[in-house]
Amino acid sequence: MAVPGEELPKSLTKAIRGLSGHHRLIVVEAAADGISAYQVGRNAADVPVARVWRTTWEEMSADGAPEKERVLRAARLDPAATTLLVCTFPDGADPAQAIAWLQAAAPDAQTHTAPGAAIGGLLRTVIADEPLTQLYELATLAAGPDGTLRFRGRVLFPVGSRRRDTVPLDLRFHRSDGPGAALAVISWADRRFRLVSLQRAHVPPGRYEVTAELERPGRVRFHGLPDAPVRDDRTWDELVAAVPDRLPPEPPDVHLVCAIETSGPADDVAARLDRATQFVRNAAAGPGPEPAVTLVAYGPHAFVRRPPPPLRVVADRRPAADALRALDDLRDREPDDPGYPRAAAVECVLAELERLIPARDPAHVALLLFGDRPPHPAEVAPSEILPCPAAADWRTTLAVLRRRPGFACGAVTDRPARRADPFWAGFAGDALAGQDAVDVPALAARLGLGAAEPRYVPFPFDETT
Amino acid sequence: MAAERQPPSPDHNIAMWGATGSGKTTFLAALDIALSRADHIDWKVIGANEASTDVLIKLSSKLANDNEFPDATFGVEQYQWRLVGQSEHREGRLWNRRTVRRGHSVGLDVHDAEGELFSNDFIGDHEPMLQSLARSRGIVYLFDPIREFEVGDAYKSLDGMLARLAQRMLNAEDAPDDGRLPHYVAVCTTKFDEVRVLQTAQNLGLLDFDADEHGCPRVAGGEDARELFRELCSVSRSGTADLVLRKLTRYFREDRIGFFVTSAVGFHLDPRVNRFNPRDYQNVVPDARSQRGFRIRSGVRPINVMEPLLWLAERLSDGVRVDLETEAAR
Repeated sequence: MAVPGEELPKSLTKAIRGLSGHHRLIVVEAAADGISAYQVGRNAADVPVARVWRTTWEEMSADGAPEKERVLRAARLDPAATTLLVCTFPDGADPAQAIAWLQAAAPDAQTHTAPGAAIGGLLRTVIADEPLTQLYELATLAAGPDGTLRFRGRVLFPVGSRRRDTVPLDLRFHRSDGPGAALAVISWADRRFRLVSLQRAHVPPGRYEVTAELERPGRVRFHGLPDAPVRDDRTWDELVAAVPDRLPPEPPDVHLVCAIETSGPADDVAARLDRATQFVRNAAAGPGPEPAVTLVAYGPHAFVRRPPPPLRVVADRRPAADALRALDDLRDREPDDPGYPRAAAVECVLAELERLIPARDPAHVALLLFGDRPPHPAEVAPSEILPCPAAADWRTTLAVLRRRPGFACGAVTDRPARRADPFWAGFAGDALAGQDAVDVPALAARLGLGAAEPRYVPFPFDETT
Repeated sequence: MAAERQPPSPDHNIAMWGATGSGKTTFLAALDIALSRADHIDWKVIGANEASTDVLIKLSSKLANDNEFPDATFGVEQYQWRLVGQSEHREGRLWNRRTVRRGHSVGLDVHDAEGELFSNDFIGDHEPMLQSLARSRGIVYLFDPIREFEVGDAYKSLDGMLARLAQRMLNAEDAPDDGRLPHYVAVCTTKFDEVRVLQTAQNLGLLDFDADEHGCPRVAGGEDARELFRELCSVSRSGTADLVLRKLTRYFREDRIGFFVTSAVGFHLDPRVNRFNPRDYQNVVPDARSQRGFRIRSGVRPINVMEPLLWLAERLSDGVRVDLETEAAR
């Protein structure tokens, strides 16, 4: 049945809008190359979705002409469905014959003649222009007063929203595991939610201003994330299972302090710098927040009339990337003169750190020494090691630092730990390793540089106030 | 080539005695510096011949200018130096008494050898050293307590040479009646600037402090120095150091033995106040670039280096009066 005066797009829009439940729309296109049967329905989220089957005239022909039965089969007519017949090649004998057979088979079907029309594209446009029939929300998490995590929907698009509608979001992401954070759009109907779309993105922990754009019903794009979201194949159940009961305690900011003895044989100095580099990299790659890194290069005191300073702070609370560059610079320099052979200015390093690190620094401070020589004593000692000219007392300073919450110290010595100067065992305790047997992750964990409990949370938190 | 002109013979001779490595050369190098630093002592050390003068210049320069210790002795070395000075004397009787200045020249013979010249095991020629000791009437005997603690060869280096000296001198026709050798002996415990030596003196309550602007510690000569010597002998590695004192008192008259606690380089002074700092006073620094593996940290301030020699000079030269107490207190 032809509908004079009604344009095809309007008919399609009207038909799609009238879909509900299991009702289907069948659009049969008789084109120059064959028949395309489009089946349009609404999925569980009430999003119109279309499927298409294509059959060529050759496939429907016998003895050089289309057969009626084959044409009807290709059209996938359904008495329960609304049917639209469209002839996009009216000049062709085969399309005209097919439309005639189909009209006979489905007398209630509307028939349109639209020469050259691209029905697939037209359907996509019509579907995309459909207003939402259900409320869209983003699945987010929120911590309750007792710390337990609960799902909370962040409204994205209300009923009636159309494509290109946008909404700003303020989302906080925690570290997520391998596949990344899930951006799950859900819809609500009859007090039940449905998963509309699921995307994933590798988003470093932090807070992001994100814009959600309704691309079409059933599809939301998210802009403003460092990684473009892609389709997520995880199931909803998998994602829900990955949500911890409660948010693990927020790991404190980490301040990694590497003090490196940069005087002595070139090979030894290079090995110390390499180890320090490994620790900085390890800390930066850990599950916690990115560490601030302080680097101190030190050597022995020079017992001469105008001694050079025994240490240099080459990076003060810098991002890991800056610290790694500073380590590279140190590596490019000639090692400092070995100087006084029996001690190095460890005591001055500690004194400098006591000065640099505020007493109430909320960060977890992990001090790692990379060296060989013990500190100079504060005064003449039985060891006969020359005292620190500045009278710095490493015992006193270390005790002060150790009293600070979150302070931990360790050391990597040139020699195997058991053969290192006794100072090192007293200084580092069980966080002591020789260059020959350093387990970087294990030692870092002892210093609190790796969170014992992974802090994976697959969904974002809505920070919108 | 003209023959080198020999200086007049000295009034007396002093010989240096001590185990190899006990610091004889350093001691003598410091002597020139010590005499130069002393304001109220008009004594100096000069070479008796060109070679000895060269050595004197070289040793003093190395110590004072380069802050380095003299090179270790290679082969056999002999230096002939003169300790030259003046002393004041009261002469005349009653109304005719007057003060006169008299010049003195004391020979200072140093024989040193690579290896154990004084040791019983030394297979080289003992004769020059023996002659020097027999000719001398004063001996500076250096006892290195650190070496004694680590090596313990003080007695071994004394015993053999002392026996040879006694054989030569006590069998002579003019041998003293008391069977003792006629020398004055200044027993010098060296390396007072070392931590272990200073702390031992401190533990024994023997420390005194100079009243000058540097305030360096010092152990008074005589009984205090003797007590420290005895204490340090007790920690000999070989356990034979206590025999040194017994041997000395057996071969020399006890009233001719004096004790001194010395340091060739002295203490490091706090550069901010130019004073001795009990917290930080070590003046010898390990230094891989120095030939001896050590260098002097902040200048040479000899302690009790000239005093033993002047004490000997006083004893040997009748009437020589050197106000050592005044000098020591300064």
